Amino acid sequence: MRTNYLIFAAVLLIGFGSCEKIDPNDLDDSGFTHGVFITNEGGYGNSNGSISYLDKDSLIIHNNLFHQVNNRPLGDVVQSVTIHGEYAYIVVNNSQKVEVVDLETFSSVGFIQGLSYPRYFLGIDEHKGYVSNGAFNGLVYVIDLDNLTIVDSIAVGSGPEHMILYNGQVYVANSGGFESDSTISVIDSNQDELIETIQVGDNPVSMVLDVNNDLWVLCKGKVVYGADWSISEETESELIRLNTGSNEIEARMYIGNTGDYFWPTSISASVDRTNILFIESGGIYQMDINDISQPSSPLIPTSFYGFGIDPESGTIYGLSSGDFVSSGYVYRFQANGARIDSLEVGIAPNMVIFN
Amino acid sequence: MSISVSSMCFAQEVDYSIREIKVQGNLQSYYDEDTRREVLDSLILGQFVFLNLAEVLREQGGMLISSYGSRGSLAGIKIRGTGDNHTRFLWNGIPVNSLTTGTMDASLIPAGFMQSVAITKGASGVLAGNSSFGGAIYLDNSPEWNKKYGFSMISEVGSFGYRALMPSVLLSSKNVQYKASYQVLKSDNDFLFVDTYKSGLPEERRINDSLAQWAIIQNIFVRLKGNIHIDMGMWLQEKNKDIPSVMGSYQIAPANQSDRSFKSYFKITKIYKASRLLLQLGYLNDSLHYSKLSPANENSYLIDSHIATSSLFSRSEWRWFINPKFTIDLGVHTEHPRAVVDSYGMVQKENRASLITAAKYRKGSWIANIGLRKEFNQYNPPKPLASFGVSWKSKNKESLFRGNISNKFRIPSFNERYWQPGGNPDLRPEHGWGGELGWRWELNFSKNFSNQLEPVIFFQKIRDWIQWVPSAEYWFPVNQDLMISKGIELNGLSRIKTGKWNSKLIYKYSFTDARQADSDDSANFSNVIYIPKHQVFIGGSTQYGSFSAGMNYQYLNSRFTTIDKNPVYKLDPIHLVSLNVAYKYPLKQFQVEIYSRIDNLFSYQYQMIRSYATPGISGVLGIKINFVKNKQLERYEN
Repeated sequence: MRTNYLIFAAVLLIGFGSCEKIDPNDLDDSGFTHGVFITNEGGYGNSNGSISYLDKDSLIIHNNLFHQVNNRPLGDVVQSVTIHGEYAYIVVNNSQKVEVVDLETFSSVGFIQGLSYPRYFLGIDEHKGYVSNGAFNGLVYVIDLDNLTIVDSIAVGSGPEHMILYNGQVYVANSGGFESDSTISVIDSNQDELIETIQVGDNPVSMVLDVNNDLWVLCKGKVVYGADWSISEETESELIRLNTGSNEIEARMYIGNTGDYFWPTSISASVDRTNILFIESGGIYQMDINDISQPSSPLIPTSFYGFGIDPESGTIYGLSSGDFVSSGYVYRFQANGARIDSLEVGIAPNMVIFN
Repeated sequence: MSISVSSMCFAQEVDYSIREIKVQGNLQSYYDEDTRREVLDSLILGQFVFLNLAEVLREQGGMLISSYGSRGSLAGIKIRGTGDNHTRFLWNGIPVNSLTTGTMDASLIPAGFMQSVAITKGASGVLAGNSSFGGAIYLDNSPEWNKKYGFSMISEVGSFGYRALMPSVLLSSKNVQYKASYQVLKSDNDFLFVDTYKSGLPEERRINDSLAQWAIIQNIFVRLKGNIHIDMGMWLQEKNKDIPSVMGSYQIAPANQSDRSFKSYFKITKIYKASRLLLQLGYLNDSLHYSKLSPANENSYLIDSHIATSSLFSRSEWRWFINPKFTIDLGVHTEHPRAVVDSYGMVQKENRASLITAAKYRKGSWIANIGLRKEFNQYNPPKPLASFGVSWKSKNKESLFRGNISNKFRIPSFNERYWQPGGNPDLRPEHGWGGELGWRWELNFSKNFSNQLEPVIFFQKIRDWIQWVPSAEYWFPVNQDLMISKGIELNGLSRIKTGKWNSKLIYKYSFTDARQADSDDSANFSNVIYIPKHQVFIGGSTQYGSFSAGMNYQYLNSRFTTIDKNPVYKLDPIHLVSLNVAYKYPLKQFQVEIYSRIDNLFSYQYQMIRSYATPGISGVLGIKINFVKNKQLERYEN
């Protein structure tokens, strides 16, 4: 039986080896270190999540990058990717792991396991990282990056998602997961301890720092259904500005409309970080950090599953998830909202990061 | 009523009353000259008493069994490129597809409980009814009036902790017969597999995949004076199945599904001089509990879903034999489904009725069938349906040409209309048409060497095909697409008798081209996922006295799992070989049979559904003990 398995594995490797491979001539000398990574969730339960890579110099897009380099699927529901040092940390939610790849070659150098519902990775220093985990009672796992093992855990709110490190403090957005939450957990990254819990709007999910190092928190709002599945309670989405020196809320505003059945999940900042951009039902909106209300019209009148902004060029990448069973698309826009082009990527693209 | 043969491995009864069978046959079986209908009788089913229907049909070839891996896993039947919810299942005339999903989990049907299983591919929407785009599968129980009493016990043990037991009993007077079978089955399903989704391709043992199931079926058949037949039956079963994680998972989120199903019917048939009246009532009650624990907190459920459904069904049919050439059927069916589902928010119920009429005309070698159907319901009934079919048999009976065309429909399931959030109560029924042309050619070189070959061409079109599409927060169904399926099937059967050896060779090939689009523009067509273009089945068996043996080979070509045919997510071709041997010992009135079966003989590693592991080579060893007391064969006189 084992021999048959090995033969099958060899045939599989040969089979995939004969598929399209990355052509080194298509890349610049920096490997995968000057480009755009797009995480494609894939369809739940189908183990067809992937990573796409756009080389910014050649403008060639390489889909299914992990599979092509490592000759095996990445896994089920690729949630996020984070670049830290010489490596990329790919969180694969329903395979309960974080794959670690070398940025030069994209070869896997190891993986982190022991996770149950991982969402995001955050690099703290050369030897330590955090992973947010949990659909209910949330944890932030402390990871030893030298041997990719869990060494500690910190209890936070429900459904921890995005994390930001600033001035030795890690801010964790507790999005509620399968329930509801309205807090930001603050962790001392030197002591690996929870030091504060900040009350914000319902279900905070994404955050970004502006030019003043204020923290902008996107809260998607919540819907509560009655026993007959009619909506018994609905709260609006909110944008909240937090002073990272005092951890006090300085401004908050409602965005979107109740009853629009849209719960925003993405926020980013312009290149100079004087503007905040976020997705709402009408599209991608751009707002000066000194404004106190949502702009009346969007910068880009198309609502996307996720988006990101190139910190070098200001190019806006909008991610269209499609039908979750076929390729999604990335739409690129100039900083002023003018459309550039579109690129076919993997199934259900949800996040874009830049290297 | 189907051919009376043993379901408990008693000796085969001689069929002496074709007219009686046809008189009492259901609509589809009576008007079947223009369709391809395969019947698995009790001799075939008796070889697989503990297999569920999905496993039996996989051993017959010619259709796609979409199974999630091990014994007892969820299994749907896809025929001619259509979906799981396009195959209609009926048990003794009662429709048993799930009200909530519209599908039928074929792993819930113990094949050994049935006297016959008839598969009609491309069944008529007029005759078979709702959800029959791909076809209809008829599960029937029938009496064995040649038996006085009998008892059988079947026991099996096999790989991966499999064990099963099935006692059966038959008691019969001249005009009353009672039959009962009880089945209990367990399997650990802890097979080894190579996890091709993990670094290093480790060999792992499957966990959280165990199965425990029991079932009982009882039937009472009564013959009264005045040519009145009463049939009644009940079928109760419970299945508890752990659900494994997908390949590549590093932590197990324990999931479990338990199904409980109760089915019952009462049927009375009166045969007049030139007509037949049938009245039937059926009652179904099903419940399902699916739960998935949070791996981080075993006291928390990620999912905890309860479903309870019930349905009352009635069937009234009158068949009038106007003359030897002309027959008319009139029928009224009613259905009253009811569902209590956590995610519906309230009890959902409905009333449906169908008015059916069909006619058969014979002239010489020609037979023509025509049918009309009108659906009524409170929701959104489909338009009236029609069907037409014709067959011609050569005088030497060596050739049979046939063709049919029929409207078909599928009423949206309760989940598609009422699931919250996302359910769409404004969904329209799927509707369309299908047809086929076939030619059956019998070539008998001698009485010891006979051949049958049957090529078929089919075509199917479904409009308002319901698909679930994502919004920002949840999925919801829409009438989005057009689906077209066309193809060719080739079915062959050869029988050879040499000396004391009786051998049989079955070979089947199908080519299926299934596509979907959101318009009629052919440039927009994309792939229907998981449908193989090519399927091959070759089955050989031989018998010498008390010894019998057989071997089957199945091939599915590679299948795409995305509609844009992304080659990265393509599943490799599948090659499966199974082997079976048996030996019978007659001991006075007892018969003892010892048998063995090996599945996936060469331990081929494959995935039927992407990222769900399947077992390699596995074996079963079984023993059957039969005891029967026959009556003298007699014809029933009214």
